Amino acid sequence: MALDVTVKKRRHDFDIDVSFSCKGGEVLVLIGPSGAGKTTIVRLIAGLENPDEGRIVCGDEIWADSDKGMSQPTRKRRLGYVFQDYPLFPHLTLGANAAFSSQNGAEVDRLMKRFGIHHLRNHKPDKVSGGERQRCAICQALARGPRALLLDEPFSALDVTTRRLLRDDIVVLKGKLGIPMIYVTHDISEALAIADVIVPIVSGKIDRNWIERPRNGKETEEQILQPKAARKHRLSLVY
Amino acid sequence: MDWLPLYLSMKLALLCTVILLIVAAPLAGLMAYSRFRGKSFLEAFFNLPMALPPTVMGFYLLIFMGPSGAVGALWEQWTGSPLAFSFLGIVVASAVYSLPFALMPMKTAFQKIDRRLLESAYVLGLTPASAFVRVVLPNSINGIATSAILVFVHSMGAFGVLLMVGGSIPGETRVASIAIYEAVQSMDYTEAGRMSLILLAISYAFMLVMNRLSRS
Repeated sequence: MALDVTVKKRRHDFDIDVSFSCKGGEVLVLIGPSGAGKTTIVRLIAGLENPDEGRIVCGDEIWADSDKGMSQPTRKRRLGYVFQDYPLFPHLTLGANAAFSSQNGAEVDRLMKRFGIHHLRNHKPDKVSGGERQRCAICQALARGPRALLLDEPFSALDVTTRRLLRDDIVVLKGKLGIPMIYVTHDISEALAIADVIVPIVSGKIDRNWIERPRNGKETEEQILQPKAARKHRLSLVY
Repeated sequence: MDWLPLYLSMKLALLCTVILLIVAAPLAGLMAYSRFRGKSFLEAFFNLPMALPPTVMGFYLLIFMGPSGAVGALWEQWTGSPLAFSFLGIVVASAVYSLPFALMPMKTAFQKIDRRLLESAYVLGLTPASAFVRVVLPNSINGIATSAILVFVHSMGAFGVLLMVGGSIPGETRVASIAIYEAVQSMDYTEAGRMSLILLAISYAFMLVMNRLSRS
């Protein structure tokens, strides 16, 4: 199952115009400076905003197609979305938050154990740490059995150690879940550690020049955008 | 002391509160979250009872709810009994009169809800209606409680509207505020004083609770 995204959207500062595809079991990282339009792209995929033109297809489901004038509402796009600073539901315990959209209590318990927050299931979100809240947000997103997972700078508000631990969790998850995962960050080391494919976004568009090329300059563009190649050739991404 | 008018007032206020919480919650949600043509006109119309003199309000309600009025005639056709000058009539009148006091605190509370919570709910598969019930309402408890208290107290103290629509029928429409007025008219200051003191105590207690709520 792949997530194919081609979207255009006019904004007051610049236009979003991107096209990319993320395969199942892969992490595609959208990287770029703050205000580059990364979050807007993810919101378009989630259906929280509608593209002016474009097509978003997840596996055999068409989520949006401007030619046919169709756009599925967010609630029907079975996706998981973990936001940087989106709060959990404050009136519910962590357990109820994680089980918010799931009928499968055993699966929720399993996820909460897997992410080490099962013992906190009766605590309200304001009584636990930021890292525990984000773990719960991941459980909440996964408990729904999503067809794609969107992570918008999910750990940027956390300390370095917690961020690294959760990032490692995502790397383990991607193989197990086998669904496309879109990960937004502006942190180059994070992108290189987690990504299968990196898509650099500058002013709403994919800007391949944003990647500093190796001195011999022989690698193909495709190789450069594969983090393994980037690591091998000691590429760095520059602002 | 005649306790019947106080009992009627309490019954009226309680019924109005329950009815308005059910009716005003979705209306306040509509006002807080929806955009549609004529919204400001509709909102001004709902808030009109706050600006109108109670007698004017009562006059129009009497016209509508009387035996020749659109609502009153229809009601009489269905049930065989009149709507005006009945307990049910004053419940309807009091509910209309107190509508803005239910709407405003709820609308303010709903608008304070973090929009991101609603987006999270949609991402997790909820319809706008179920997000309203499962996310907005539980996080607006203080606003809803404030609405309930204001409606209850306002209904307890209503006078002009009730007198116009219900008159003063003992055991039916003669609520405490009307009984106090009549006691004063007949120079029975002791009876008026006792009933006024009870209403004062009830209103003060509710205002204390409301202050607590607004602080928390």
